[in-house]
Amino acid sequence: MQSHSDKPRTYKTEGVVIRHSRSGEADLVLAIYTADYGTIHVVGRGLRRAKSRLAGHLEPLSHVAIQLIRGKGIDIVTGADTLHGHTALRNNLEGIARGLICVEMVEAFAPEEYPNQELYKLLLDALGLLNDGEGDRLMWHFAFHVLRTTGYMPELQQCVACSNVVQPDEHLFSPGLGGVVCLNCAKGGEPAMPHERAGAPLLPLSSNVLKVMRYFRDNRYETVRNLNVDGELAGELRRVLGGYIHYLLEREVRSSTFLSGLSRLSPAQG
Amino acid sequence: MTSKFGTDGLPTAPPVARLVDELHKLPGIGSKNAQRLTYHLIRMPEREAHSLAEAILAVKEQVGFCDQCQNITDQNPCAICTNPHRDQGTICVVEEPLDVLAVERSGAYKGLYQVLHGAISPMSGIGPEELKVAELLKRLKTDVADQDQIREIILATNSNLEGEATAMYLHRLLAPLEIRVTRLARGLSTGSELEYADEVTISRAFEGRQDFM
Repeated sequence: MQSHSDKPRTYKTEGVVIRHSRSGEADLVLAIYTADYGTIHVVGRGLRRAKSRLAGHLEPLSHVAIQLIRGKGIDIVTGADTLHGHTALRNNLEGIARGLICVEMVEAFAPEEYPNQELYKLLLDALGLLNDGEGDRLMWHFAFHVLRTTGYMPELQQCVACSNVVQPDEHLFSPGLGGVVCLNCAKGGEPAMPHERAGAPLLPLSSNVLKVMRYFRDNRYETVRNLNVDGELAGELRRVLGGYIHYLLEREVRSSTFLSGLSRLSPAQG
Repeated sequence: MTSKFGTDGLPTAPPVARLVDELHKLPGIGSKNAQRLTYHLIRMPEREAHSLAEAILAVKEQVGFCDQCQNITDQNPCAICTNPHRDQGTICVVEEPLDVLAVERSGAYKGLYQVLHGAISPMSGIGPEELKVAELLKRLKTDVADQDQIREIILATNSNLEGEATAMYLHRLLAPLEIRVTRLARGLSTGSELEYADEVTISRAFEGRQDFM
């Protein structure tokens, strides 16, 4: 693990810009998920000024190569070059919302200042695919693999209370215990206690959705992208996966709430 | 929060510590600046200190939001909305009151405004409900129903991710009203060089190209 003090006075890396917030008169504090240092918070001096040369390169969702200098307390971005601006993704609301879901999940699940090459590549691939027009199916696949690469993959084979392999149509999902629960353990009685203590209600889980979850978990996106997930399946998958993520983060994924809200507007006009 | 100690932990007279605490709450004012400002105010002539205090109170008492455009104003509706010489047919939608000032300074625009007081930023939990979007919609629906004066809505939100998301959202929201919706030109800013521009900027500059005049 690379610690802050390992960085030389000036250093370079590449990353995806997650978010920015205003600071001082014209500065921006940026959160960037980098290949070499995980999530870093750095300041861009004068980025809010109209004539700033770096500002366009450091927009959220851009994949950039950056040069930095060690500062007192916070490091400073001295140079930036866009590696991939994901322009197509930026030209529609759903694309932006999905892109933000990706970076929001990475920021939430990846520990700060801790690099994770697999997660980094997953993020880059996801943004590239979103830029190519992929939609909700990619988001589910991405979510599963964020959970996998950060150690939160739910148990989908054995009951998390009694360790027996769950039988088809005889299972529920426990966000608190992080996996499937067999009907025996879910009913009253002593074995039921662990998931009640975990503080999240059990969620209904049909066999079809469990199969889809295992399929997403075990396969690369190219394999799963043609899977047809119809409305009802999609709704249940959203509830289970969303419920699990909500439990882990203790909040909703805000960009996801925004994406859901968009469907209430009239359809996209291009 | 009145403390016996200033923000550096040293014993200070309560009124001094209180003022340091209050100034420290302001954005961009750290503890050193708060102390420096406090000691400056202590040495300032009493008349000037009163003037500052009264100006702060006046802003809070007399300034509110214009019912029509949501800009900050001391008269309701504001001076721009009540000015009959302004073009009543165009509304320029901006993020913040300071954007209205910036546009007015340019002298390039003679119509009316609508201030959203922010931009959509899903990750920060800022959606359309947190902005003055409902007020914009209400104003437009009333116009469509009654006077039918508004011909164009200019989306002048910032050219960053949040501003673009806001513009796209508004464009979709306003589509059923069948009023012309335009977006300020984006792309290369005056004084910038193509060599240093990022791909998103260049891409937008190409999309927005026009016949040379």
